[in-house]
Order: sequence, then C-alpha cells, then structure tokens
Amino acid sequence: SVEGDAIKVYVRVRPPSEGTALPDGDQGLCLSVLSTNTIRLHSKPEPKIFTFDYVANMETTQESVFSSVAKNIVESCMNGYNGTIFAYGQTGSGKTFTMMGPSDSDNFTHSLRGVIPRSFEYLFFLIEREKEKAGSGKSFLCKCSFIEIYNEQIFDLLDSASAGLFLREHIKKGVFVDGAVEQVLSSAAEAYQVLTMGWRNRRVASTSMNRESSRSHAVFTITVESMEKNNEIVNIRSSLLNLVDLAGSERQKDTHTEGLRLKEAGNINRSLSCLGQVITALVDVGNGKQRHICYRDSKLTFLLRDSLGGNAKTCIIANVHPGSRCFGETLSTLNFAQRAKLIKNKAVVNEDTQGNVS
Amino acid sequence: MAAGGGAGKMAAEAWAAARDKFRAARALSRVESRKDPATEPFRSKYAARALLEEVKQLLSGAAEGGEAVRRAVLEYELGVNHADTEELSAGEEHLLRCTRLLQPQRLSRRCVALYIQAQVARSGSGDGSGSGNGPHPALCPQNNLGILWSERDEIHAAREHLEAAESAYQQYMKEDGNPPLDPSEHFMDEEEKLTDQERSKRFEKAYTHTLYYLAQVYQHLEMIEKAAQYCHTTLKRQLEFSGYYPVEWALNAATLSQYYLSKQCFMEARHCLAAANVIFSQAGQVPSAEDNETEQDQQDLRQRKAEIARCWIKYCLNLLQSARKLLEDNIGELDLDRQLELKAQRKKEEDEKENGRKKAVLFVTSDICDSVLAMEEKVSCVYPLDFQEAREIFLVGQNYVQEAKEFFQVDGYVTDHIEIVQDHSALFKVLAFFEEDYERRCKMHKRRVDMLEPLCADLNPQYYLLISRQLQFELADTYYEMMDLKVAIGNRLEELDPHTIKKINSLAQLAIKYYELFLDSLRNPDKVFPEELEEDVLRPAMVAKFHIARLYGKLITSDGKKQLENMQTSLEYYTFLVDYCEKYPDAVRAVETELELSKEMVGLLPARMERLRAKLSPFI
Repeated sequence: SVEGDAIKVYVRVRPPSEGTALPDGDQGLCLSVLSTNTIRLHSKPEPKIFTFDYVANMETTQESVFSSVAKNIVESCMNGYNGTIFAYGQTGSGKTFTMMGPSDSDNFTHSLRGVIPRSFEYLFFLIEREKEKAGSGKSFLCKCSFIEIYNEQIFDLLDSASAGLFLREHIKKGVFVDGAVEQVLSSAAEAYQVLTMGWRNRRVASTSMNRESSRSHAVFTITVESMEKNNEIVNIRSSLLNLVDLAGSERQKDTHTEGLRLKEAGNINRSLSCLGQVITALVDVGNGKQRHICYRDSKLTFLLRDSLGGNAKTCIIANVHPGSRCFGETLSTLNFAQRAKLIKNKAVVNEDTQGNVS
Repeated sequence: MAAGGGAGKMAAEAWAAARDKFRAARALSRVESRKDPATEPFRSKYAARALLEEVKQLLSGAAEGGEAVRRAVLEYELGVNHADTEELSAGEEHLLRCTRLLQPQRLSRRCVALYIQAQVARSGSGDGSGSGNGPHPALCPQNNLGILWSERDEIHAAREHLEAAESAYQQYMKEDGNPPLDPSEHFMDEEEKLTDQERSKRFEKAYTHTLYYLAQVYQHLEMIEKAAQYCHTTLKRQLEFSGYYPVEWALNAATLSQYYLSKQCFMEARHCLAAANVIFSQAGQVPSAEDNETEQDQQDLRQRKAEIARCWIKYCLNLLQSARKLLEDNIGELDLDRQLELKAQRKKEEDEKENGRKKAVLFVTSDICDSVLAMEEKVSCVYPLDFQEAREIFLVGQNYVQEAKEFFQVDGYVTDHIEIVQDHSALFKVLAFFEEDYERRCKMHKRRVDMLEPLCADLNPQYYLLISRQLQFELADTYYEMMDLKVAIGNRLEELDPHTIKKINSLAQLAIKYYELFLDSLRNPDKVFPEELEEDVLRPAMVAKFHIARLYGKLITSDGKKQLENMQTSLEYYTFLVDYCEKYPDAVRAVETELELSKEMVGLLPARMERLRAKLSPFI
C-alpha cells in the first residue's frame, strides 16, 4: 500500500555497560534482536515480538544510525520539507550517546559523535554543494533557536534571562515561539557550538528551579531558507529541522511526581482538574459531529503539530537498555514506539455533497 | 462521645500522647512534606509514619473494643502514607485493614465518612507499578489517567471500591442523614470537635470526590453515558457546595455541552452553556488570590471566554444542521410536507416538554437559577422549522462568531481563527437551506466565498496543509452550489441571457479551479499525482474528480469545437473514476453513486461526441 508520511520508528539497543549485565542473573538481558526490524522481549509468560521500521542491535555504529535515520530527513529538508527527529527513552538507555556522542569529549570531532553533529555536517555539506552547483544565483540563510518546555512553560535556552515565552501562529510561517532568540549559523561547527551552549543553560535552568531536567523537553530548530534568483523572479523556500529531546520516559522514583496516584485521592481539597479531561474524552467519541473542545494541546504537541502527522518527515529514535533490570522501562518505551507508528496525518476534508449528484 | 469515652478507658496521659503524636504526624505529612528537598522527597512522610506506628503501639496497649475506629483511622493514615511513598502494596494492606475494621459499623455516624475516604483511597492504590501502557503524555496530553490505571484488573477493583463508597453514602443519608464525624475528629478532644456544618461540608466534599473518581472509572471502562452522568453530577455538586473555580467549572460545563450535542440533546447542551456563561461571569468579579492580576491572567480569561463562545457556535450549528436533516427531501431540498407535519407535531409536544424538563438533572441552585433561565431564553433548543426560526438561531451563532474572533485573531491564532470562520461559513450554508429565494440563497453563498477566499490565498500549505485542503474543497463546493443555483434560476427564464451564461460559466470555472487546487495538494514534491490515494483523502479526491467532470459538462458555449473539447475533458475525468475503481476495488465503497453515474457517462459521452462531430462537419 501507500507509504504515506507515517512516523518512522527506529529502535536502538545499547550494549549493557560493563559489570551490569552479569549480576542480574543467568541471562541478564531482557530482549533479543531478531532481525533488522524485529525485537523480542522476554516477557512472561509469553515473549512479545515488536516490529519497527529499523532495529539497531548493540553492534550498530554511529555512522549507520545516522545514515538510516537522519540522512533522509536532512535531505528532504533541503527539498523544502520539514523534518523532525525525536529521541526517546529512559535515562541510561543511550539517548545522549545516540544524539550527541560520548558525553565527556568534544563531540564535534570525535569518531563516535552522534546523530546531531552528523546532521549538522551533512546539512552544511548539502548547502555547500547546492551553492556550488547553482553559482551566485542561489543563497542560503540558516538560523536556529533552542527552547525548553518545562511544566507547560517555554524557556529560551539561547537567552537564559528570558522566561515564559508564548507560542503563536503566523499565516505564512506556521507555529513559532514569540520572542525566541534566533541565531544565524554559517557552519556546522557553529551550530554545534550554539547547541552545546544552550544545553548548558538547560542544566542551569533545571537546578535553579530545583527540578530534574529529565522532566523537560528540549527542541532545537534549524530554519533553512534558500533564495534563488531566476532573472527577475525570486524564489524563496524555507523548511525546518527540529531535533527534539523528549523528557525521560522513566518513572520518577525519587521525586513527588509518582506519588500522583494517591495524592489525588488523599488530598481531598484539590481541584477536580481531571474532570475536564474526562469530559473531553467523552466528547471525542462524538461520531463526527461538530464540536469544540476547550482544552488545548500541550505546548509540545502544538509546537510540533506539523511533525506529528502533518506534511513532514518525522522519525523517532527509541533507545532501550537491554538489562533485565530495565524490563519495565523497556517495555514501556517499546509500547510507546509502537503507538507512535500509528500517528498519521488525518486530512479530513469537509465533504458532505453525498446525495447531491443530480 | 468518642474522645470522652476513649479518654475514660485510656489513661489520660496515654491519650494525650496519642493525640499529640497523631496531630504531629498529620502536620508532617500534610504541611511539612511540601517543603522536603528534592534529594529527600519523603523525609517528612517517613517521620510521620514513625509517629503513626508509635500511636498504634499506644492504642494496642489500651486493647478495648471501642478503639476499633481509632485503629481504623491509623490504618487509613498509614495506608495513605505508604502509597504516597510509593509502597503501594503495603499501602493497600493498611487500607484493607482499615475497611475491615469499619465493616460492621460502616454506616454509623462515627464511621461512614472514614469508610468512604478509605474506599476512595483504595480505588487509587493497588499495585500498578507503572508499567506505563499509556502513551507518552507529551504526545497524548489528555490521557494522563491512563498512567493511573494501566491494568484492567486495577480499574475493576477501583470501581468496586468507589461503588461501595457511593452506596454507603446513599444508604447513610437515607437511614440517618445527620452530619457524620470527620475522620480527623477521632483524635481530637471534646472541645475541639467540628461543628455540624463543617462536618457536613467535609462529608459532602468527600462524596463529590467519589463521584468524580467514578466518572473517570466509567470513562476508562468506556461506559460513556454513565461517565457523562457522573461528570454532570460532579459539576452540579460543586455548585451546590461551592467547591469550584468559576473559570474551570465554566469550561467543564461548556465542554460537557459538546457531549450532549453529539447525543442531540439540545436542551441539556443549552443548559450547560447557559450555566457556563453565568458562572464564568463570576470569575471576573472575584479578584484573584494575588489581587494584582497579570496581563497573562487577563489574556487567559479572554481566551476562555472565547472558547465558551465557540461551544455556543457549535450548538447553533448542530441545531440547524440537525433540523435540516429532518426537513430535507432526497435531493437535499426543503420538504414542505415534512415541514407541516413537524410543525403540527411540535404544537402537540410543547406542553409535555415543559414538564419533562424539570425532571432532568439541572444546575439550578437558587442564586443562579434566574440568570441561567434568562440566558437560556435567548436561544431556542427545539428544531427550527422555517427560515424565520432558523434565522434567529443563525444570528445567535453569528454573534458568538464575532465574540470568538475578538480573541482568536488571525495574527497569532491562525488555526483557531480559520476554524471559527469555517463555522461561520457553515452557519451560512445551513441557513441557505431554509431560504426559498434562489437569488438570496446565492448571496449567502457569496458571503461564504468572501470570508474563505482571502484566507485560502494567504495560507501557507507547508504548515497548514490540512486546513488549506479544507478551504480549497469548501470553496470549490460553494462555487459549485452557486453555479447550480444560477442554472436553476436560468431554467425559469424563457431563454438564457448572455449575462446569466457568463455568470454560470465563470462560477463553474472557479469551482474547477479550487477542485484542481485541492487535487494538486495531493501531489508529491515532484508534482506527481499519487498512484494510490490515501484512505483519508480518497473520497474527497474522487468527488473532486467527479465534480470537475460534471462541471465541464455544464459549461455553456456556442462554439462547437470548444464544446467538443469540454466533453473530451469531462470524459477523461469520468474515466479516471472508473479506471481507478477497477484497479483498486476497495475504493468502490467510498464512491458508489458517483461511480455508477461515471460509468453511465463513460458509456454515453463518446456517442454524443460522435454526433456532435458529425454535426460540426456534415460534409465529410
């Protein structure tokens, strides 16, 4: 059937770090990679098989992860499509290694550098190539912004003084963060520099608020604008490349958040805020009737609306740790990834001319 | 009585120690714990737990039967404490012990409130060690509750506990009804005890929470109607016992109205919306906690108001559209016989309805009753049966369109703004159904074009592909409809005048233009039309092709060659439908009528073209 723009899901299994695999038991591992797109989770009583667009086993190189996940997306970005790469997984599942590279070195030149630096290199490589091909007729402008969404609030990571930015929409430019700093980029190295600087701000922000950073989402966006002059006609094309680090998928063992379950019940004075969610869910079942829901999307889904089922190329990299101690988290990551595959652009066109064909 | 009795049996000293420790534990767990550092989140909870265990020791020394309730209070506190510190199965054990201790006298004045709270707490516990089957909250914001009850078994258990609490409340109110003791009172001295008013307030609040959790449980069990009923009752009780935030309440009520719309319950929907408006207006009057409202708060308030207006728009729209469904004949026109029949029927029912209304669950507490009724009187909740009635509803809807647009301006709120304009257009469209004069009807459609066309031209499909397609399709359809109306008007004339012909042709061309734009939006970046259409655009795409075929057939020209060309184009589009369905038989279901007509045309057109050709060159 038609391939469509469904989200591609890529699962990567990291190798267990030394010393952690064996003490867990005989097997030590809770899953095995069966082929390049299937994975078996040793759940009880029945093992469970998951199928994804790609499954990278422990031996997969950084280079190969990049070529199978990101290369395509960067290329379509050059063709005017928007592209988004999400990273998802529990802490310790290799998310940072996959996206950035080894944590303690200059990732930009390291042979094990991750998807993000490689995407930067490739993007600017493609831009240079285009420029050479087209001569002086074509020029490019790259800008980037870097924001963090924490607790439904938006912070600018390129301007640590700012707080509480707003999402707005522009009829030509789509969704944007009002007032976010945009930095012009001229090379991949510069892009990487901006990214690492923002990343440091993220940590600062998270400690000053006394909150764990893994509850925040970070979105790094590069806007690629090309201008082509053909005689007197100027042709401008622009597209976005979003790199998203989703909040950790793990349970928040050491914080209050998991206490949610009984806090709800125990704290009898709380506002009944879940009632709205229940009612919303009731209305959603409303068989195609006209209705309006007063509750808005989360900030993240609103910002990335286009990537989650629009005309964009989107990929999720789900990172898992194979250790049997991580079984619960791994199962939930795989379940999440499975669901993500179902997200698709639903172009419902109002069309009620049936019976009007006289 | 309880404390006095306890103090009598226990040594006064032991009682004082137990009371003070219990009090300290509650303070630790309810107040201090909020200030615990992130590195030691449960410090105060653990300290509270230790104190509770000590109290338990003191009580077991007393070993009197009358202490059962106090022991149950301790088990309850310990249960909540364990659950708060993520030791869920231990928490559940304590709570189970609590309900067991209470079981024999659960309907007594001393126990019923605690019993209900313990059952509610149990419904939220159980060992769902967060296997997290729910989707990531970031991607599915409305589904946080999925995390709470990820396993089916747990939710069934939750339901049992909550229903037990519900029936305990009802039975108690029936048999006794006096304000029962609050659980906290069992460790209070006589002189500190609560007033009956305070007792009643707390008891009712706990019951409201029971219903609130039941609403969630029923929703998760997909018992939608029941869930809606419990949502409604929760809202109602919030009003009665004034435990609500006006804005939040108003939004919930407005959203609930949308549920009633999907069930065609217009009276209930209107009632929710009217109450939402009334309660919302309280929000402006009550200054917020900090008193100095920020600009952000003001903006939020304006947005909520606009959201409620949008719910009203949908109300008007649904009422009009449902009425149209009732009144239309098989070609989509007003059925006059049906209209008479329904009018007669309505007269008969009117009186009965007045009585039925009072039986429904309504938000009528004395102080807002009049305002809600006044609000309701502004718009009907029965199906409009003629243009005059339809127009009144239309005007109300249009007013709310203006109100909603004040906040949702295109600059900053593109999607919302366009959705509102689409609703406005839909209001005109359904109003046009009731209009008998074709010229005036045509003008209504022209209004739709005027509001949609500029948006469609400005919108960047790279970011708004879906809305862009919707606008293109709607514009195409509107022009198509206008052309049909002009043809109908022309048919009444003796002879088509050049002006009418020009008008028909230009409307047809515009319809074709927008259908083609829509079809172009389906092409890939290399401008290739997809080999196989995606399911969600299949029908619209086929309808677009079919309508283009018909439009080419309707173009009027005196130039024979041009006419032949148009027929040729028409044939190509009809052929597309027929060939496509042959290749992908699954598509047939979506376009049965269109396919049948297309097949017919593919059969007829070549012969007609042959005749025309012969007429054009009779001498060959």
